[in-house]
Amino acid sequence: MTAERKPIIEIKGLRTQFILREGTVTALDGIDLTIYENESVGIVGETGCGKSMTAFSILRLVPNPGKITAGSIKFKGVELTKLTPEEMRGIRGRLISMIFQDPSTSLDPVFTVGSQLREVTSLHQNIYDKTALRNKILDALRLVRIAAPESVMKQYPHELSGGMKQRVMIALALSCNPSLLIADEPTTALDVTIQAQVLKLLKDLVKGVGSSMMLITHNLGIVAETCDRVCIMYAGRIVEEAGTFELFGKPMHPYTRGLLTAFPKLGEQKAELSVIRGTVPNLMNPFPGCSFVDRCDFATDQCRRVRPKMAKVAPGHLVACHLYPSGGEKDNA
Amino acid sequence: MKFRQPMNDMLSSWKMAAGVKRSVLDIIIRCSRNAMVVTGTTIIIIIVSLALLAPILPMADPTPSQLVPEDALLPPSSNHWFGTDELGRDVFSRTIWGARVSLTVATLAIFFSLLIGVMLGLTAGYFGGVPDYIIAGTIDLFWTFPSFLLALAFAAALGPSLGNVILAISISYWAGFARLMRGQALSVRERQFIEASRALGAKNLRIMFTHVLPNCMAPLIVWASIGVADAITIESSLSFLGVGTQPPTPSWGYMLYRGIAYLQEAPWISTFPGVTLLFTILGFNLIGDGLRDVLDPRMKGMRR
Repeated sequence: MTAERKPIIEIKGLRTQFILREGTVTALDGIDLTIYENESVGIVGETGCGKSMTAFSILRLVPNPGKITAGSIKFKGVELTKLTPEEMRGIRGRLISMIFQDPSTSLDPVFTVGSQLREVTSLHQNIYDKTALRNKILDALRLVRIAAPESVMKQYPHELSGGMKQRVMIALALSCNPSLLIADEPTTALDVTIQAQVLKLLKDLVKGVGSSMMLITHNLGIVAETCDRVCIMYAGRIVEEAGTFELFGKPMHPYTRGLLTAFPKLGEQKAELSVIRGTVPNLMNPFPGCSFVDRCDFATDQCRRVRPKMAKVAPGHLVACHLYPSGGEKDNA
Repeated sequence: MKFRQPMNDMLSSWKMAAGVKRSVLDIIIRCSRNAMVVTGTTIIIIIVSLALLAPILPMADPTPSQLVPEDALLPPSSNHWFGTDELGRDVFSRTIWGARVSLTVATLAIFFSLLIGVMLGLTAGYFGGVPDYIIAGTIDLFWTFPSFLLALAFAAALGPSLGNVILAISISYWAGFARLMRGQALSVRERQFIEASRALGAKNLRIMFTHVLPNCMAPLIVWASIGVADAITIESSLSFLGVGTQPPTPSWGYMLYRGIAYLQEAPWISTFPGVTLLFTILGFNLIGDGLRDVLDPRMKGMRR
């Protein structure tokens, strides 16, 4: 369903590792991900599975001592891993933007909203004319549906509510019409009523300016509402990838199924929520088999020995699990 | 000692820094409600305006070329408010002219220390790694010596002159600012808006000067105003010991020193410059302490 569209970003075999004195932590272990034009892709997984690291790797802002050790990230055909730091900086903010989890700490407290927008806009678009700049900023604020842009412009971040701050962050990130917007848990710090507003806004804006979005979250509900396609990540790998409806209707990977059943449903009487037993494996110890094996109810001997590869089980539906023979067999051969 | 004071009470939360920028008017209003800032500022304004106006005030020449021996050691009177010294020079006039020297030296010395300290501290704190290792090591090296002894050693080695005094004080004082700046930069660089501006494509230099530095201003301002008081003390002490300002240029320290010999028969020679020195230092310290309360929202309402 997405085959005919032009890819914005193509990640192949991305591996990001942290080389520590105690050993090497493989935060991302061979990520393959393609995001097409005008598409919203959700990345879902539990804490520490590498969702944010994927985002930082794309922007080449992996914190020290982390390094991208293998793989390629092609952005509109340009290999990002080979760019100089200077060239990379030209891409950040202009072509790929990022929104962070906590809006209250993502804005500089000592400057007004207006001056922060001005900084980004004038630098990235080389606008120096004061009135033009002012109009641009007002437009950006109106775009994120801030009611009184003139007065908000003159306000400092601490004078705004959380939802307003996140809108300002979105305005900052979208001020240069980036081709790809990475939203790293954009609604985690907001309360539920604001969450829906911000998500709808993001969805509309992304469609409106024709960008693609990579939405990182651990909340499947958010994905259902916002994304066209979902990738489920586990322990530094993508374990299942499918269209949103497909995934919610026919979850394949035991982990995905676990996630879905762990999610409370409205109107359902349950004494206890089901949980996925066990914890995430230590990423420092390389392990030949499937990383979910210790927590999986269907684990076999094969799962311990051979790592399953991503295989197609339905059009646009990929899963990395030995339970699905078309995937498993290919791997054994 | 001011240096050893726990830094915590000076360090800011983000709100403290936000307070600086929030609105200049707001800060001024809050300052005007703070008794310490008001008292300190009043003292300093009086002394600074007297010092600035010294050339046009109808006063005796502080360094007369013709000494009048019969005027020597006169007690305070309507002619000589602070009396005269052993060479018959007017102590009031010399005290006021001495303020010019002390204030200039102190302000310039603090300006240079601030400049060096901020640059090095910001570089060390922001980049970390090898630059931090080298700079923090250097800071600690300078920190090991009591700042006054260091200034004394430099002033003695460089030879007495106003420029050298400024240099000596700057050399001995920058480490304090650098350390403060480094600590602030270390904490600010971890904040998410720094990461956010990097994700939006800002250069290191831009992040350092437009985001890290403004967020560290509040404690720097506080420390600088207390630093001026310290620098005045150091300058006076150096002059007292004869390695600072050279006679006949009037200087508080040197006047104090000369007055010792006549403390019995003419106590005014030492007393008046000493009291002026005391008030100047008190003034700057009051401003510093008061600003700390004003700029730190956690102190709000505790003292007015």
